[in-house]
Amino acid sequence: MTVEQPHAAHGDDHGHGHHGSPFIQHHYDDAQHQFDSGKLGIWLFLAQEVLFFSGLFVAYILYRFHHPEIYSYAHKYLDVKMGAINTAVLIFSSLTAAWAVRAAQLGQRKLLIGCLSVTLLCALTFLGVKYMEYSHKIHEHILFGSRFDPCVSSGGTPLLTKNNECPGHKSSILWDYDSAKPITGCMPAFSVDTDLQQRGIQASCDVTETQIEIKKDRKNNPFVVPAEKPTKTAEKIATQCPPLSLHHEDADGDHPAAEHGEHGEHGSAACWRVAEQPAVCRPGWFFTTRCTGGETFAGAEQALAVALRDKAEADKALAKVTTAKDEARIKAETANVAKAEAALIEAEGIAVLAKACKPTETYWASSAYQDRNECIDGRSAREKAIKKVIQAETDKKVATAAYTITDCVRSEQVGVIVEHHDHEEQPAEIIALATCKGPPKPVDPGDILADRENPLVLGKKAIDPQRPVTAHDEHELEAMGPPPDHTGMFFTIYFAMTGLHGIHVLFGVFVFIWLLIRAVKGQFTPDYFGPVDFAALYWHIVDLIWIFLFPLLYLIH
Amino acid sequence: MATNTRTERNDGPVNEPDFMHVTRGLKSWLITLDHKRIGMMYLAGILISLIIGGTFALLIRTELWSTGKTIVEQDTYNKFFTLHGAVMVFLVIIPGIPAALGNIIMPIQLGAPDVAFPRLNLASFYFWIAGALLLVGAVPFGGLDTGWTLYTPYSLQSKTPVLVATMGVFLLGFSSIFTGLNFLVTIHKFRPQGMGWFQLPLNVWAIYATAIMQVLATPVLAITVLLLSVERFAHIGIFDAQMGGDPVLFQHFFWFYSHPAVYIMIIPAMGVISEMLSTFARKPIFGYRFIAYSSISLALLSFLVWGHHMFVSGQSRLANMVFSALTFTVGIPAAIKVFNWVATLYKGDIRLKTPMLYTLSFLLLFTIGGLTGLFLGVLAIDVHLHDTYFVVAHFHYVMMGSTLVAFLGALHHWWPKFTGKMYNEGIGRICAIGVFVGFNGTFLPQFVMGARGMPRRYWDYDPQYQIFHQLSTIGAFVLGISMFVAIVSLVSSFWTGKRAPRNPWGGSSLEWQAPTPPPLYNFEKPPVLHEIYNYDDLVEVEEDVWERRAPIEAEPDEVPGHAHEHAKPLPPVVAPATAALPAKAPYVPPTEPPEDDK
Repeated sequence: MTVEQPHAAHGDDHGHGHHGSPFIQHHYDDAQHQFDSGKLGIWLFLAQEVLFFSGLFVAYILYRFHHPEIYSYAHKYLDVKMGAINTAVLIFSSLTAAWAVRAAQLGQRKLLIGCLSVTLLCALTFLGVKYMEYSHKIHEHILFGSRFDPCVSSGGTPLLTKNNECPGHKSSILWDYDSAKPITGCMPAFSVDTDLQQRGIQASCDVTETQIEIKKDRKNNPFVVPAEKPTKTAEKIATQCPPLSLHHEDADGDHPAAEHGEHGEHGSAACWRVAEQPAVCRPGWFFTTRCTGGETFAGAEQALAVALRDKAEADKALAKVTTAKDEARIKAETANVAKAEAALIEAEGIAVLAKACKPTETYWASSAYQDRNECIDGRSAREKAIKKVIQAETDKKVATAAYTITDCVRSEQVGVIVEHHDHEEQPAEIIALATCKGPPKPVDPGDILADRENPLVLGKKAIDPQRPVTAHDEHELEAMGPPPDHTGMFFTIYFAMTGLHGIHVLFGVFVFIWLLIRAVKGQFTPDYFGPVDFAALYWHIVDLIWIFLFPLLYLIH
Repeated sequence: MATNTRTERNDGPVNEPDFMHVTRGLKSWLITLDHKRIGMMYLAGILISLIIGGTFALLIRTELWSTGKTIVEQDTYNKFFTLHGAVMVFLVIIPGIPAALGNIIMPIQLGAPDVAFPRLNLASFYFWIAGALLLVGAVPFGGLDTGWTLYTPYSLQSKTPVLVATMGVFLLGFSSIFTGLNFLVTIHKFRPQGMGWFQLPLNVWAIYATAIMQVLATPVLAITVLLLSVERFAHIGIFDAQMGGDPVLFQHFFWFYSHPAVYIMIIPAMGVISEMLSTFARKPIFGYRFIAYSSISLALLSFLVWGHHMFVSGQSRLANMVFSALTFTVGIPAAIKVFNWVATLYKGDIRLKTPMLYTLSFLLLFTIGGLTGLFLGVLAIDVHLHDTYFVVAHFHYVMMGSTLVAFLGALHHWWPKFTGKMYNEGIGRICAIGVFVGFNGTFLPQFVMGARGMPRRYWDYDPQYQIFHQLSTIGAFVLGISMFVAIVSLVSSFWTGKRAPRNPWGGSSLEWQAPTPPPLYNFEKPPVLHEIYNYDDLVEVEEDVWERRAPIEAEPDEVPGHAHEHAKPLPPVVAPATAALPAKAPYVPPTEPPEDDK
């Protein structure tokens, strides 16, 4: 007597209804009862959703309250344009979702299908934009927690990652946490592999120059801030260069690889090495070298030792020079001193670079080379020597053109360093020092050295008073420097919030596909449109959550 | 088949098969949408979990019989108490009354054919099963040793499969959320015409209050364990101080859920207690509205007191004081309930059936549990008692002494209704007394040793605590054996029990008008509304068989047994009941106008 009964025949099946639509379930009084129940159910579900997200919002508030600097620093990594596009897309899709409900209520099947399709497309667009944002961040190591290891600062300053991991981006600027000061260098990775040492540098580098200022962050650590947009000044490609040598006696000494390098017209390892040097030592400026495929720059310490030995010899020679009566000999020794000095500076810089590139020693890169301690170490005796060298050079009447060119460049560097070291007291000297006595060096587009357009301007820039710093500048400035501790927490929150939201959007995509199929089958009638209504409500809350997320994450000021 | 054809006293023949015989086969159960079958499946899962959790409890107590190692090493002991807590909290006590008994009974008490969303109901059950399998599945993967609270930072460092367990808790959370959502809509939309909010059985009120908390608090647990899972899996750092995260934030999140969860556990127990107390005292419940409102106010207050779990976790002094003060306010609605229950007993015609024995146990144990909670709410005293056996004893008095005892009572109370079989009353009573004695034997000594400084969760202890531990262990075995026998006795009544009548206890709510066991849509004819908790016209015609003195016919044109052929097979309740009533009917029409919320 059980199974024969019509009632029992459909057993538990609630899908058989009456009252018009076949989708009114068994246990409801009528269509209205089912709709009302569903509506209350979806509202409760939305309340649940709000509470579900609330944990993340509380975490957001808590961490922002405790670490505002993280938020103001890190939000600049987010692309406001992308966020704004997604906001617009979602708001528009909410409109079409609401419109779909009306179409379903009125039984307008084509309009319903259209509205659902547009909503679905918007949801997919949102996910597409999200995909672009995420893949960019994954590529740039802008990730959560300790995986936050970006290639550039939020202000656009290139950073060196812990393991030089950023594909295509090797920064030249380093932040030395030990000494708490910016140092510089563009050595992709330091290695003592003798093979590599023999081969020298293999890298292709873009060199850009930026004027900088040195600021202090909240912890009073200095860091550099670009004052102008970086300008690309040269592209360097150096391969198979000979080992580093600091003893190029010939006039062409800075470009030994130019003749036999694979990319001769663009310079060579030596070019590159030399190329960074003046840029580094240019006051108020820093340079960025982004190198691809770079492997090593070896021999720096060896070079330093050589340079120090030369320096000692040069000092000894200079002492002789000062006491000697032989004019010709003075000139010759002076020239040696100048070259040794330049080599020393160069080697020191390289040593710093080499040190800086050790992954264990340094992490954040954000500064310029011309920090006084690194470049010249404030040794007054050496400055005196340098001045004498310059004096000697100035007095020098006989010199080859090539020699003069080299010497001129060196003196410029030296002058600039001195200026930086003590620019307030010796502004006049800067100009004097920056004046090149020799014939101007012919412009070589492949050589950064050739890009000195006007040394006088450089000196002026360095001592120009800065405009007053506004709060906005301070804010910008914060974003330029090294990231505050635990910056990854912002991205933890960012990925948790937008990820959970994205999962909701993805779920919405499936819901709208399902609705679309049902709409195409014509299953929605003015009697039965609950699913469209409930999905639209769900979609509105997904939209609403995004409307909170967008300003909270992207528009922090 | 025989059960389908028998005749029910004074209610006419039952022409429909009961819900267990509508369809047959395992598949018909696994894909059922019937709330009673889903509730039965929950019940089976919960009883199995209860045995698993209870086994762990006895293992803990056995280990603590003597100082040092008794049966297991420290690491194993850690896994024992973790799994005992996790299984009992997440798999037994939280879903025990709402998901299992609530599913079976609550729609019938409303006169409804089913819950509002039967498919969602089934989905909730499968969420529960999946969550339970993951949580218990931690055992073969090496067990879990974080404590059921999963506190960071240890839960981030533990070598045990925390991720499996947290995913299990996540699924269990959504099971709970969807069940609560379903019940809220059911209570709002499936009340019959004429049953206003204050004609609802108090069990329905309690389930309503519980469902509010399930829907609003559990999502916070869900996001918390989700974050914990992601933290374990991807090291996002949100709870990791090394990466700038805040481990205490986890505690806040956890207790923001888990304190309401304590009320999710206790309020349904209070609901079934109100039902049983009134039925077996043969008296209208005293202060109906106060009990109803106190359930709601407990639900709301539960969201404001989570910080009292964290008095020694480095909260600010101000926060401690605020949470302490709010904690005391919880005592007010709880005390209102106890007062009303005692007042209901006053001059009642008390029948000491098994459910009533459990109910009286509940009254005593809940009072002790509630009052010791006040000790712990005092800031200065909490510093001394925090993380001692005093706390263990306190929350066992509430979670076990109250909720589980109420669950057992309710199980006995409604067992005849949904299985159609009477259990053995003698065994039931003995077990009820055994549970009471065993429970107090277990946990009273724990108050003493806790106050004397015995920390919780310790594997070893000083010799001066040994006597308390041994008393506790003896009590635990009395308790465990009593509960086990009670459950075996209940389950065996399936096969050996007498056939149950419609109304074995003289209950006045609608489920006692339904056939025993109820058919698919619960009523073979529309039930008739009577004044709630009015026992005047119920008489015991023979032992455990109660009837209304004046039988009431349904609408004359409503032929029983043909209801299913109508457009809507079972209108949940007879509409204006007065029209169908004979003149001498003792029915008191509802004093409030019909609810108009559609």
